[in-house]
Amino acid sequence: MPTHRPLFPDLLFEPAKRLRAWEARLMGLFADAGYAELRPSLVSRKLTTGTHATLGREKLVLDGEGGVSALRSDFTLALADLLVVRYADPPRRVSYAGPVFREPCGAWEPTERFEVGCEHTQPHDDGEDADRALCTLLARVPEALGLSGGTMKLGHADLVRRPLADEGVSGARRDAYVRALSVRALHAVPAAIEGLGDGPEARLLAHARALLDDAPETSPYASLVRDDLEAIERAASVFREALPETVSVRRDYADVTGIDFYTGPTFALWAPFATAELAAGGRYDALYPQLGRPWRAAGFCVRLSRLLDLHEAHPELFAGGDA
Amino acid sequence: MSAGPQKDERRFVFALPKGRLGETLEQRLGGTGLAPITSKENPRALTFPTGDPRVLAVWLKGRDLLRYVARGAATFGVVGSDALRECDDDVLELADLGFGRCTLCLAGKKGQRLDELLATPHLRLATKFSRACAAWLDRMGITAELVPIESSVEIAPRLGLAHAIVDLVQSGDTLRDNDLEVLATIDDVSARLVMNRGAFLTDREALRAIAARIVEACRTSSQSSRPKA
Repeated sequence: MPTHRPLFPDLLFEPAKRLRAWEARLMGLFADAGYAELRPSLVSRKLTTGTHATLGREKLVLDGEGGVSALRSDFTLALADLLVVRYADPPRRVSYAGPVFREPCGAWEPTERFEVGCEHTQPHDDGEDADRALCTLLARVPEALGLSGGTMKLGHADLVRRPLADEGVSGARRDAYVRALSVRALHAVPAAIEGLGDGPEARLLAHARALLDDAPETSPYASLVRDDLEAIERAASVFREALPETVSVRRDYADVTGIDFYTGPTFALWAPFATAELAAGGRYDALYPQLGRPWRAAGFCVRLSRLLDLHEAHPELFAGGDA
Repeated sequence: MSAGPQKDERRFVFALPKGRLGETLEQRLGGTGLAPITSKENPRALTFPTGDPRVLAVWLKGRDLLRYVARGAATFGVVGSDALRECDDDVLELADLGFGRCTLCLAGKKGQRLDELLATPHLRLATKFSRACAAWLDRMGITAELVPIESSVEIAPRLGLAHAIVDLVQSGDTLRDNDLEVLATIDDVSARLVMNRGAFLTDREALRAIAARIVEACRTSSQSSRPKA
């Protein structure tokens, strides 16, 4: 991030111009696809819901009325809070743009980050293939940003969640197994599941090896996760059709991103030299039921702060896409 | 000005750890084409070619090494699991290379019992492994003040800076020389092969093959020369 104050970046001229240009292009792209903008408040006043506790790493502030509030840490949660209060039947397609404030993931990541994204909400099963529509829309993002190449990573956390649930693994063992897969540390798996018994330990180790070797069909749980593998293949098929040739599609069967949030295929856009994903999303059908609404939802978010970082270090990756 | 790397046909940067771990690694890489090729003509060089035209080697200290790899400035590297546990950097941990084995231990004055030490009011522990130490204290249900120390931690109890230390122990000679002994083992430590997440995603086949060469070389050597206890 081009700034002298890394946690709260000042954008000086060119980066500010680039940010605005990217925002405008992406919001235009979303508008063309029927998405309308919502701007939830920068201040989140609901700090007690389960989803906040799970996902939010908010920066707490005094709200001036003797209480404690938080700056918006996540657009998906902020939108959810807004939609469940304001709408009995939610708008199907919403988009958003602006900053979020979250504890840094890495030593160089700022607290204040700029994001643009969209969400497709379905109050009931209307027969529309929202996943296909979202994948098609995300496939147009690299071109809108002027990104000359990259990789679209596809995963599905149910490939890990279902076998763990099937074996009754929870708590610290589950966390350790998920952690081992998240860093592709097969050597750490035996210690993670030690004490489960010979059968479950052998099966879960074989499963981890199958996922890490890109051979999920060899897993002892292959039949249990068949539908999830098919969902990944459907998404891969859509991306192959819609992505520019310079962006490859990569399946990551060991991907455990958002294992307690996403309920379907997940996708993440990477580029060479990127230190984290530049855009990410998926289906999260459990979110709205937790808030008392039987709605399904899926969406994705483009991490503009990371794109600014990447542009600063590697402008050659944005050939023809400079703001 | 861009902070990106200079144009070079070498697209992978291999970060080797400075110190004993790196010396052992360098020996084990012999024959893989991945060992740094040093030049007497330029003794101050910081980057080195390797026998693989795609791979450039650099020597870095453990925690810096992780920062380089996480940022993608280095593609992959080898680091002790102790350094890995102490950092926030997001890197893949592809293999336990089976060498550089030692233990992270709580050590106190010779003759002192663990329960006596833990009963100390306002217990102070000197360490540079504050995260692993804090996690162990948490698991044990103990509270203590951690005194951050970067070097010569073994003299902290003798000089009254702390009641005990948490440090890496290999042979135990340094502890004995300072009238200390191991009271508890906190973690097992060994060399790990780490890799940048994005690079592994975008260059998976090539990097898997390189990783396999490193793992094979290290494991073969480990089987033929086990480290001293």
